[in-house]
Amino acid sequence: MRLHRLAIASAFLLLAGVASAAEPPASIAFLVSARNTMHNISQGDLRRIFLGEISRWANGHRIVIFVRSSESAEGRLFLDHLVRMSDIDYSQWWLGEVFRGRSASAPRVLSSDDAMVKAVASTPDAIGFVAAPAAANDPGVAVLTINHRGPSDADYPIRGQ
Amino acid sequence: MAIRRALNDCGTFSAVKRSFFAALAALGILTFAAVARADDAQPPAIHFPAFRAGAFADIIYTHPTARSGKDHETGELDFYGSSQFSGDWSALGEVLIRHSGTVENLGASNFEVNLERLYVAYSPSDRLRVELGQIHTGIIQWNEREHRSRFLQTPIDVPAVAQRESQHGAWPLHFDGAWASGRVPGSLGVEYGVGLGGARGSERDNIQPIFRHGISPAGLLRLSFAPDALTGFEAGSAGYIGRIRAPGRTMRELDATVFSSFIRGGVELRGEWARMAHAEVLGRNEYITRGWYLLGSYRPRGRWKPLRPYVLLDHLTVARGEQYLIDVRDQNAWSAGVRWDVSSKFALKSEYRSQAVPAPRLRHAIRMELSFAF
Repeated sequence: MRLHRLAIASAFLLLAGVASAAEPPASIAFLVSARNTMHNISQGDLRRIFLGEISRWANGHRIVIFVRSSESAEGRLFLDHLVRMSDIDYSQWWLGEVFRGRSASAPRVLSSDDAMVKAVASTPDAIGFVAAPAAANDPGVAVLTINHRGPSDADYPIRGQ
Repeated sequence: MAIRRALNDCGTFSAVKRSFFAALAALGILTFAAVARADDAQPPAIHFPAFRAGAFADIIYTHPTARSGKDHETGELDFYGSSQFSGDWSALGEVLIRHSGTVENLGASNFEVNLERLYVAYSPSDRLRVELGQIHTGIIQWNEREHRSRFLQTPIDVPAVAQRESQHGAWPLHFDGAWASGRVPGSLGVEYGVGLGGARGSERDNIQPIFRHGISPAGLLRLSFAPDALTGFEAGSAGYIGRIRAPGRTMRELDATVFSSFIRGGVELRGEWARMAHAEVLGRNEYITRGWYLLGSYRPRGRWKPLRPYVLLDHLTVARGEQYLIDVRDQNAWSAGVRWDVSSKFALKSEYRSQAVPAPRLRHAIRMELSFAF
């Protein structure tokens, strides 16, 4: 009887807890500080950075990761085309990374592309991403090419459909 | 060293038990209420030394389908704290508090407190990380090398090969010693791990201090790869060698495991096969224990993404006549259920479990789990 009540309550909560989604941008650009010497990265290594499996730049400095919320179109494109996880799985992945002792903290979540550009420009060891047009003219950041493809290239790997 | 306190058949224990679950429920509710605010908040920047503490908690309720069966409850509180002293040095400690008992007989409860991990780590680069202290051996992969916390796994159950030593598990999951690991740069995603610690003693669930007299060393080697060309795929193998000094006889232990996983776009597939050989040094007997599991789950997209239906197959065959594994039982079970992530820190799981051979209490059961991360 107790189990039945719990099952009914669970079903009710489930029906009340679903959400909808919006369209992602055409592509996202990955940013590093203009002082960073890296200009190109493989898609595999980029994914490993955002999963915490690669935690340092070539100079030995720890990588500081910034991400957009999964509620943003950029955040969804990032999850769908680079990390290839849902927002729930990505969040729990980072809970596990901290629990396993491999990372001191989860990535910082920023609320807008402007905030992302400012954060990356002011943090020498940072990496983040924005909708491709937003990265255009800030001298404090550099846009990474992925597998030697830029965000405007037709075969850039992190593109929406 | 593991600290274990078991309280059995204690008449006053029901009040303690009720308090325990009340505290769990209160913590869960507070976490659930705080999650909505925390998701949008920006975590502060890290300044060394940085301390971080967290916990996982769960309650499992089991209802056997047979009329003669008894409802059963278990709960775990898994506390951990880490401190990052600098960019290279850190420390981590983890304590697991576990409770189990039957719903009908609140007095017949059991509490365990175990030190899971306590180590200092030095990590000058991604190519090398060294941990010193009480660590996980890594002989069993399960959902990761540090496999505790049922919140971080999809199903309710931990497969038989990944059960802790103090919960009738057969494999050596912990030791005191050193573990070196790292990632080899390149598109193959090769990772290695090498461990050296104290081998097992006469009691399987007692982690032996490495410098205790009469304890033999144990070694472990682990290798895995996750190629860029197949995003989400990983495969690897691990081997453990040691010498068990049990009263009246000494045995060589040689364990090997092969594991693989594929996690991409909502799909989760995990499998592992493990073999354990215990050979008497002064005798001719050799005992072989084998086990494996397969886990498949899928998280749909869109409005149903909080749900993750899963199937787990779990098998273990214990060597006949092996006294060292006298309390380890064969396992031949499957379970099918759904994990529902109400939020990123609160999950509800329910499943049907069929356990054919010769489980202590159940054959078929309906189970539910509430689990939280703090």
